[in-house]
Amino acid sequence: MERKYITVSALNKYLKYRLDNDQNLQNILLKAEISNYKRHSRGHIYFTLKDEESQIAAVMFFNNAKTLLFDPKEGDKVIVEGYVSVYEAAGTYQVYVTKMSQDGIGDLYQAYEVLKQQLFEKGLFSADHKRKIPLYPHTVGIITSPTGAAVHDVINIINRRYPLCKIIVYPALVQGDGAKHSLVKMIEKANHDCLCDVLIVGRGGGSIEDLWAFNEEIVAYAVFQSQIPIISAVGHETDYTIVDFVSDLRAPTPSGAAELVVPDQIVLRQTIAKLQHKTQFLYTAKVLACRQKLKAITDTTIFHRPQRLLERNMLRLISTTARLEQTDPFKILTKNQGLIDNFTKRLNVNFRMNYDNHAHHYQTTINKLELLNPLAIMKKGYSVITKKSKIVRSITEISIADSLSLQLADGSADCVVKTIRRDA
Amino acid sequence: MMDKKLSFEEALQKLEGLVKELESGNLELEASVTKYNEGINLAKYCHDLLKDAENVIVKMVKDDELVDFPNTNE
Repeated sequence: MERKYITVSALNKYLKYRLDNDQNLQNILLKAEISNYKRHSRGHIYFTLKDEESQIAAVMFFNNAKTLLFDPKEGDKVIVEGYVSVYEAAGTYQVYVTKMSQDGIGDLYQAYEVLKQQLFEKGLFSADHKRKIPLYPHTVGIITSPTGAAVHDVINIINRRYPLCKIIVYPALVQGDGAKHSLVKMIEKANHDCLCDVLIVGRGGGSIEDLWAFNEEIVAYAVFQSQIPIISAVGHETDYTIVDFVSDLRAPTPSGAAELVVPDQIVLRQTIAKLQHKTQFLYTAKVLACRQKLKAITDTTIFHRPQRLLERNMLRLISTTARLEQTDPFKILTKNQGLIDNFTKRLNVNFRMNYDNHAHHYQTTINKLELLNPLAIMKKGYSVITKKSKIVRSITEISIADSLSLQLADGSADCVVKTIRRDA
Repeated sequence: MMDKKLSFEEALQKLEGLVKELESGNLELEASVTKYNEGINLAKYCHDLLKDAENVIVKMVKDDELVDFPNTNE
C-alpha cells in the first residue's frame, strides 16, 4: 500500500493549527535577551530572543511596536508577552510579540529598597545630620544638566523671587552611565569652591532609569558628606530617590526647590514696610511720652508761681526766729527773776498770815484755858472736897464723922462731919 | 560674597533688632532718635536693594573657571 503524501503547505498549515490550538503557547511570558534586532521600514521589528542555551525568532508588528516605552537594542534584557505561531511561507515558528518591557526594572526597585534600608540603618537619613537651609542665600549652586528645562525654570523663579542672590550652575550629567560620577564630582567641587551657601541637586522628570543616578550609593554619600546644605529636586512630586532622603531638604520638583531656596521679595517688601511703620510708631510714641512727662513737670506750681516756694520758706523763717527768741538767756533770766520775786512776795504774805492766825488762836486758847482753871473758879468762892484724896461729888459718899479735906484757892483745911442733910 | 556694604540679611536683622529695642521702651529719648533714624535708613536701604536689583547673575563652572551661563531666558 502506497503511503499518502501531503504537501508542504498542508504540513505547515497543520503545524500552525496545532500550535494555535495549544493554550500553553497562546499566552506566554518570556524572559530573554534581544539579538539580531532589525526594524523594518513599515515599523515592524524583527529580532531573535535568546538565553544562554537557546534562541527563537520574534516579530513585533507596527501596531504593537508603537506602544513601546523604550528603544530596544542589541543585548537588552526584556520581558516579552505574546504567542507562538508558524509563519507558513517560511516554515518557521516564532514568537509574535504583543508587549515588551525592559527586564531589570524589578531589580532596580529591589536594589533601591535594599540601599534605602542600608543607608537608613547607617543613619544617613537621620534628622541630626540635616543642615539648616539659609534664609537669605548669597549664592545658590545648581548641580544639574545645563541644557535641561529644569535649570532654566530654577533660574527664572529665583530671579523673580529674590534677585539679590547669585547663581552658579555646576553642570552635571543627570542620566546615563557617567551620571553618578558626574554628580559626585560636582557636589565635591561645589564644596571645594565654597562659593555657595546652598546647593540644589536634581533634574527634571523621567523614567526610573533616567532618575537612577540619584539612587546611587556614591551620590547619596556625596550628598551626605557635603558641608553645604543641599536641597534635592529630582523628577516629579511622586518620585522619591535615595538622594531625597539624604538631602537636607527635599523639594518636590526643581521649580519647587527654587521656591524653597530663596525668600519671596513680595513678602520681604511687606515685612520691611511693617518694620518701618513699627519704627515710626514706636518713635512717635516715645516722643509723645517724653513730651507728656515734661508737661506734667512744668505744670507743677513751682514753675507757675515760684514765690510760693518763698512764702513757705518765709513762714518757716518766722517760726524759727520766734523759737530762737525764746531761747534768749537774758529773757529767761528776767523771767525767772520775776518768778523769784513773785514767790518771795507770796512767801512773805503767807508767812504773816500764818503767824497772825496762830497768834490769835493761841490767845483764844489761853483765854479758854483761863476760864477752865480750877483755882480761878475757887477764887470765885468754890472749894473742892476730897475724902482720902478722892474728889467727893455726892452727899452719898459722905458719912457722919468722916474726915474730909477742904481745898480752897489759897489754902486747905481738914474737917469732921457732924451732920448730913440730903436734899430731897 | 556680594560687596563690602551691609547684606540684605544683615540689614534686615539689624532693623528687626532696632524695632525690638524700641519696643522694649528702655531707651532714652536721644537713643530713640538715633535708633529711629537708623531704622528708617535701614528700611529704605532694604527697599532700595530689592528695587534696584537687576536680574540675578548666573555663572557656570567650566574647566574650573566661572563663565557666564548661556541663554538664560529673561
